[in-house]
Amino acid sequence: MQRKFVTYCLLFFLPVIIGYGVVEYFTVSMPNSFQANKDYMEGKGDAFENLVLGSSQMRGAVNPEWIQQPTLNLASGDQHHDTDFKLLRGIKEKLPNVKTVIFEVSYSHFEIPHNGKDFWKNNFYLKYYGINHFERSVYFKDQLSYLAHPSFFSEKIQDYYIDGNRKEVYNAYGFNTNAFHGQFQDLGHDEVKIAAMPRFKINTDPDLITFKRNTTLYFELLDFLKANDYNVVISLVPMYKTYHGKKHPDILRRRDSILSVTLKNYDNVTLFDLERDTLNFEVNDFWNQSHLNPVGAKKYTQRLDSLLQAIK
Amino acid sequence: MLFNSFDFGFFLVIVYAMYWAIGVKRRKAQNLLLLVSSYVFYGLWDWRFLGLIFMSSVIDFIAGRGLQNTSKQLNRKLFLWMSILWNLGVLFTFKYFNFFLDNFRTLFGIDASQGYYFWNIAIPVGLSFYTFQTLSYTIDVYRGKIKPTGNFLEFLCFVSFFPQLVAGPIERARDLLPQFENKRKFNYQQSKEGLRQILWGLFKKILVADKLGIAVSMVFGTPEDYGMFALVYASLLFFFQIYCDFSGYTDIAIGTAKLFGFKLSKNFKIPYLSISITEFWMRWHITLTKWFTDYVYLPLLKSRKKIKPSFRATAVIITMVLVGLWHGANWTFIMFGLVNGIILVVERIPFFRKGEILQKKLYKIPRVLSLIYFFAIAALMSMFFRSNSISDSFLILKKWFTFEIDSHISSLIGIKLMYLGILIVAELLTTKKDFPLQQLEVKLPKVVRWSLYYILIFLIIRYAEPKEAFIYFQF
Repeated sequence: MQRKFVTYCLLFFLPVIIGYGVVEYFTVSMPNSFQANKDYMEGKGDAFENLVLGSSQMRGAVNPEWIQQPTLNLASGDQHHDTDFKLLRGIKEKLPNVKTVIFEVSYSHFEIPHNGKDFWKNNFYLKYYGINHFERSVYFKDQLSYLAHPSFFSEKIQDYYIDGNRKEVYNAYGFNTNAFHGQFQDLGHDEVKIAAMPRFKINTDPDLITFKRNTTLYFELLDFLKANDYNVVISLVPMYKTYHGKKHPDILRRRDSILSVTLKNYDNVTLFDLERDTLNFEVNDFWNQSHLNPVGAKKYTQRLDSLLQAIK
Repeated sequence: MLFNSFDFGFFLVIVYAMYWAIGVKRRKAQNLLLLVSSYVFYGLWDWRFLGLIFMSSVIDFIAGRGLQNTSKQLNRKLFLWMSILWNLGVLFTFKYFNFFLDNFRTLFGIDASQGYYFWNIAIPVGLSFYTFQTLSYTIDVYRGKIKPTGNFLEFLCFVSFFPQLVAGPIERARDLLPQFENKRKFNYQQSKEGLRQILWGLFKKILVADKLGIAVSMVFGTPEDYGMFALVYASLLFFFQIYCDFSGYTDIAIGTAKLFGFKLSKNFKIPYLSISITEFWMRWHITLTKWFTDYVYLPLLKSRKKIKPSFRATAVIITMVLVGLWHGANWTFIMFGLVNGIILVVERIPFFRKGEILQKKLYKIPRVLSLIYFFAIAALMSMFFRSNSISDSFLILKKWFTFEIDSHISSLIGIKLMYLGILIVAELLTTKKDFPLQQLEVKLPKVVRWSLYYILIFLIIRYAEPKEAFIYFQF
C-alpha cells in the first residue's frame, strides 16, 4: 500500500515538476536587470569606480552610460538600506577600485521596514551576484527565479511572451532604456489628469520603532563606508510635484534631521538633493510620481556626473 | 517555515520519507524523529525561542508527575500553580507586557523618559497555542480527567508536534498524547485524504485569503479615504479572509498530521452558515472555544453555589474579553471580545413571548433575516479585529453610519471574489464532509480528479505571493 502511494505520488508530481521547469526556463530567459548587471560586471572586471545602491527610484534614475568613470548600478526595486549594506559588504572584494558609493535616502526610507532575510530578491543576489543574503546556508531552491515571486513572474511571462509589451531593453551598462510604460504614460503625461489621480503609492504612516531600527543601521552603514575610505553621495531623487503635498510632515522632518546630523558628522558625505527640483524635471521626465523615466534619468545622471567629477 | 512555502514542501517530503522508512515497529525512533523535526521546524523561525517550548514542556511534565505522586491537596495546588504561573507568566512577559506598561503609563501620565521602557522583543510564534495546550494537560491531570504520562519524549512530542505547533488546533492531551503512545499504521486512504486536505488548505490560503487581503489592507490602511460601502464591504471581506487564512492553515495542519498517521481535532465547521453568534462560536476556532469553556467559563460558574442570570452574563463577558485578549495585546481585540460577549448575552435574554430568547427566535425567522443579522455582526467584529488601532475602529464605525457615497468601491471588486465564490459553492455542496475534496473518488473518475488537482496546483503556484504569513501565527 505504501509503495502504491509513493508510486502514485511520483506519477502525479512528475508533470508538475516538468511544468515548473518550463516556467523557470521562461523566467530566466527574460531580460532582467540582474543578468544585465552581471554581464556588465563580467565585461568590466574590477574597473568600476562608482557603485550605486538603492531602490527602484535609484534604479530608474542613474544610467551609468552618462557617467565618465565606470559605474555599476546595483539598485533594485524595494531594495532597502539593509540589503544595500549586505550587497556592499558582499561585493566589496570583487570591486576593489570603487571610490564612491552613491545611495538613496528617500522621504520615508527611515520609516519603511527593512527587507530582512526573507526578501524575495535574495534568490537573485545569490544567483547573479553570488552573494548570500539569506543569513543561513542555502540549497538549490534558493536560486530558483520563478519561485522567488510566482505571481510577479507569472505576469511578467504573460507580458513578455504572450502580450509582447513592456519589453525591457538593457543597454551595455545594465540600464533599462525602455522603462517608459507606467501610469504617467497611460495618462499621456497630462498634468491635469495626473493631478486628479485619487491616490498613489506613498508612505504616510509614521513608524518610530522602524525609524529607530533603520537609523541605527544607517549610521552603521555610514561608519562602514567611512572606515573603508569611500566617498559617499547621498542621493535624493526628484519627485513629481504632486508627491510633495502628500508627505507626512513628521516623517519628512525626521528624515531631514538625520541628514543634517549626517552632514555634520561625516566629512566623506555629500548630499545630492534634487528631490524638489520641479524646474529642471518636468512631467515628461517622470515614469510616475516618485520615479524618473529614461529621459529624466539622463538629466539626473548628467547632474550626478558633474558632482562626481567635482568631488573626485 | 511557512506551510505555503517550498521549504515546507521539501521539509515534509524528507521527514515523511524518514518517518515511514524507520517503520511502525520502531515507534520511539519515529517519535524522536518527530521531535527533532518539530524543533527544526520551529527553530527555523527563531531558534532562541526553542528554550521556551522546552521549558514549558519540562515544567508541565514535572507538574504532571508531581500531581500523580502526591495526594496532599496543598502540594497538588502548588504543582498546578507552578504550571499556571509559568505558562501565563511567559505569555504575559512576551505578549502583554508592553501593552500593560503602555496603558499604565497613559493612565498615570508617566512619561517614557522617566525610566519606563518598552521591552523591544518579538512575540514567539505560536506562543498562545502551545502554552494553552500544555497548560490544559496539567489542569486535566489535576482534575483527574487524565493520567499523567511518564514518558518525557512523548510529552515533548505532544507539546511541539510541528503540524499544529504554531497555529493549532489546540489539542487536548487525552486526544493527542495516546497517539504518540501507540503505533501509527500507514493508511493509504488516510494519506490520500491528507494530501487532498493540504491542497484544499493551500487553495483557501493562497487563492482566497491572500487575494482578499489585498483589498482589505488597502481599505484598513487608510480608512479615512473610504466611504461607508467600502468600509462595510472590506470588513465582510476580512471576515472571509481570516476564515480562509486560519481554516486553510488548519486544513494543512490536519492533512499533514494524517500523512504521519495522526488525527487532529476539527477546528471549523463552515462558520458563515451560523444563524446566531452563539452558533458561530461553535463553528469557529472550535478548539479555542472549548478551551475557554472548560478552563475559564465553567470554573467561573462553578465558583458560585447559586448562579444568577446576571452572574452568568458577567461570566460570558469576562470569558469573551479574555478570548479577545488571547488574540493580541491591543484594545481592538478587547473590543472584539467585548462585542462578542455582549451579543452572546443579548442572544440569551428572553425578549419574546413565553420567555423565548433571541438565539432561538433567530432559527424561526426567514433565513434572509438571520443572514442579515449574522453578517451585520460579523462585519462589526471583523472591523474591530482588523483595525490598526482603537481610534481607527471608532472612525470606521462612525463612517459606517454617514451613508457617504464611495466612488472607489468598484476598484475593490474584481477577480478576487471569484475564488471566494468557488469556495462558498464548494463548501455549501459538501457540508457533510470535513472539506470539499474529501472522498472525491466516490463521485469523480480519476481523470477528472487529477485534472482538478492540476488546475488547483497551477492556480496556487501562479498566484502565490512570497512569504505571506498566516494571520493567526501572531496569536
